[in-house]
Amino acid sequence: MKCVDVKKYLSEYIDGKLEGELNEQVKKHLLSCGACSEDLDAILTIKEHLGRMEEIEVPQDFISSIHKRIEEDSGLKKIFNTLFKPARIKIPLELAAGLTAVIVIIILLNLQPLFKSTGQLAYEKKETEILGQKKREERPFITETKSYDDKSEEFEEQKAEVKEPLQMIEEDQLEIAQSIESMKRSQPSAEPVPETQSRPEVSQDMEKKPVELALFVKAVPVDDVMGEMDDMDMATEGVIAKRAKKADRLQPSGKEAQMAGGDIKPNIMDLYLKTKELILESGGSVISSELSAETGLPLSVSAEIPRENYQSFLDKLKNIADISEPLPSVSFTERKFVEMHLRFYTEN
Amino acid sequence: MNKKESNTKSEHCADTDLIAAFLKGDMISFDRLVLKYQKRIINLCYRLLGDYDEANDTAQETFVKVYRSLKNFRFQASFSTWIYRIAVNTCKNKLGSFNYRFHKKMVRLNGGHQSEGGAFITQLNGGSTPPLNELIKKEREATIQRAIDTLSKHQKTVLILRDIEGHSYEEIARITGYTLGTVRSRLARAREELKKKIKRDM
Repeated sequence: MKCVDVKKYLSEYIDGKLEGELNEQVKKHLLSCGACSEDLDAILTIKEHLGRMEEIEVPQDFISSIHKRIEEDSGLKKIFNTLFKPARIKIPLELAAGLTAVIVIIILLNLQPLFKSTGQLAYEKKETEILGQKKREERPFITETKSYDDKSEEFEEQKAEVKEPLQMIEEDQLEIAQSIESMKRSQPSAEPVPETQSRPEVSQDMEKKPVELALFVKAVPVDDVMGEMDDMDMATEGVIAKRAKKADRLQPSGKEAQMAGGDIKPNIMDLYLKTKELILESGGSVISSELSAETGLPLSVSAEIPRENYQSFLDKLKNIADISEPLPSVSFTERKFVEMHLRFYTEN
Repeated sequence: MNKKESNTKSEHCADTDLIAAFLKGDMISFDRLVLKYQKRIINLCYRLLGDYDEANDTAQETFVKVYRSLKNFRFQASFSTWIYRIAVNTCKNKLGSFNYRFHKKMVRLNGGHQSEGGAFITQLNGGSTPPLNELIKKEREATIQRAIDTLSKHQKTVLILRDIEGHSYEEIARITGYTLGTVRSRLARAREELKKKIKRDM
């Protein structure tokens, strides 16, 4: 047996823990190896000294100190139990888990509408509603096929309808203003959205539009149609003003009526492309385009125009399309970009 | 081993009787248990922690834990093993804490073994100058304790339980939760380390 192996077993050898053959081998090695014998002696000495180490005395107040600690512990526990009294009723774990899960679900369900009513989700939700409504209505394209007479009758109905929901719209204003406020926070560059009309002009869905356009109009219109203009609440009021004015103007010319039908589609597309071109020329960019699911024709386009180019952009836009009055103007001076939403309509 | 009380069947019976009486509300039985094990426990704590005040505090803490946990005591197990386990674990927790390690460094700077609790050293001769052999013995013990302090907590636990407290390998395994093989190897390493350090210092 080698010294390195013997060293490993010395400790157990001293304690008599080696058995049989191994014990004999170590014993034999120690008889002939001086170094390992020395190691053995050294370990034996340490073991002896450790066994004879002086014991320390127990302090006189040891037991009383323990009693004191126990009392202090109990006192604290009593206070704790008084303050946080546990329920005496024993509830099975499964029932408790089930109840907790139900409560969490209820809380989440109640909070969900709250989350959705603010921020971007509100914007998207309303946009979905609008698109849904648009699809149901299909006004711009359905009206293409109607005759002039039908249209005037429809116009009269719409005019009456405008007055009716005015009150509802006022109630909507508050809700929409709040949505706008939250969207403003999340979309700091959102700005006025004027309407654009292509030639020929088309009647609008007045009872629906105040809500959808209100989302996009942010700036203050030039003329104070509705009284005091605030940076927040103007949008809807400006739209209403537009509505009213548009109602007066919804008298398509014979020429425009002729242009209804087959000529509408190329004109809309043509206008859309020209508008996009103009946006880019003005140093702006197209944020999004809305296309009809059925026909694939453009419904609207959202863009942002550098503030300094906004007026010239409007001027150029007038050359290619009729823009409803009053013309929206930018009242804010701190924003670098004007966000616009341009909706394409045809009227026949 | 003159220090270790043999864990005979009679001792075990005596312990369980005291525990049973305590659980029925007899506080004196608890005090009897304390009196029986206090010296062993405080010395174990002293050798593990290397400080008198810490040893006193930890030993008291051990008995308070015993008091609180006796209602959960399984009568099949040995009370001796059980209380040693509590003491060892309480000491190991302290050994692992930052505050303790910092405190130990401060004590070393002061020259070691100094405490407000009244060093046991001065009690031996009533205040007069102790004889040379006593001083030599004290110096040797201080050297050994310093060497023990440098061991890892696992190594020193096994060493103290075996060579100071006199427990068997199997009992050490039960107290610490180590396997027998681990007990053997850690003890061998601890003795080897101690031999090297003491040889250097003496």
